[in-house]
Amino acid sequence: MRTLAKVDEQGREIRHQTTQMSQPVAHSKRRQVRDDHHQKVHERSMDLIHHELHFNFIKIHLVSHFSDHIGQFCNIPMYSSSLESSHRRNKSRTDGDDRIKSDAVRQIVHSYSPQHAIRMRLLNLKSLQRRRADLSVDALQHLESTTSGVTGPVVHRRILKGRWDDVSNVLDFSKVSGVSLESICP
Amino acid sequence: MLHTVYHGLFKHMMDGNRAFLKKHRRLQVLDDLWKPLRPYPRFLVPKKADHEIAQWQGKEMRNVGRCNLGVCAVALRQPLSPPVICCKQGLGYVRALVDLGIMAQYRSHMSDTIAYMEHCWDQFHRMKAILLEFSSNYAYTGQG
Repeated sequence: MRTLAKVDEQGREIRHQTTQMSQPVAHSKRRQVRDDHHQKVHERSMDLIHHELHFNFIKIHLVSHFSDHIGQFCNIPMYSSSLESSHRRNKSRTDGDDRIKSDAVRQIVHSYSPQHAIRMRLLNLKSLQRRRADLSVDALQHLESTTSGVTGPVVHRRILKGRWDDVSNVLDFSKVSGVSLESICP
Repeated sequence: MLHTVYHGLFKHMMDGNRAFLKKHRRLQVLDDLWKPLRPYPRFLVPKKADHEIAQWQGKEMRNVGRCNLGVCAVALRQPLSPPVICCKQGLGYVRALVDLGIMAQYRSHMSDTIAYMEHCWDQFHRMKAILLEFSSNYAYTGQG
């Protein structure tokens, strides 16, 4: 039985007991008796609520493992929905629907997070090496072998273009507008 | 992450919040506050009020996470019926969960960020008593 239903039932029982035990009360005292009754019901229901209700469900326990998970796997990616959609895609493919060509699992494996984590780890080791920290021989050998592999992220810059077709860079702009190049780029 | 934080805890938080505000007669204020929310980069304006959504998507939950604390703070700005301490505890509960959800999405962590997350989790446990009476959805008796 749900707890709130229990609370209602308890309130009904108390009301029933009070009506049975009630004796003729003076009009001036009725309000005080009613307030006492409400207070009693409230206290009992809160006792029952605090006794029976809890936050003891599975998902709340998973959060307490987040820090351990981060220690082991660097971050908490949102993979669950992607895997679910990949499962649906595979299912639809087996059903004869070949319209979706992208492989979601491959995308997940090649996602940003593990690459970023490995890159950050290597950069940290390199900075430690530069400060002459005491690193293990394996780490030093690995760093030497992968020095060329540590590259920064590829930056895709948008090329700014002018409104005129014949203006593609600052030099053209200087020629067209008649403003000297020295004043544009001092 | 999606199913634990958003579909698990945030859904729980939303239900508890609504019940809390309903008890203190602030639910209408909350519903009115959802409507005039303006769009912002990475924030989509919800088309429906939160109680009108039957099935939450991850994107909608993320949106709620971005605006829920502000909306609740405004709804409890001038407490009349609820005592101030209740409002503070309720807001502390929401804030702890929102902060935890945001920090859990970081792509890389330091010991400081993990410490922040643990602090939020402790804060959540300290404040959760205020919404205990509204957590009946998950509460069963000992017999199961």
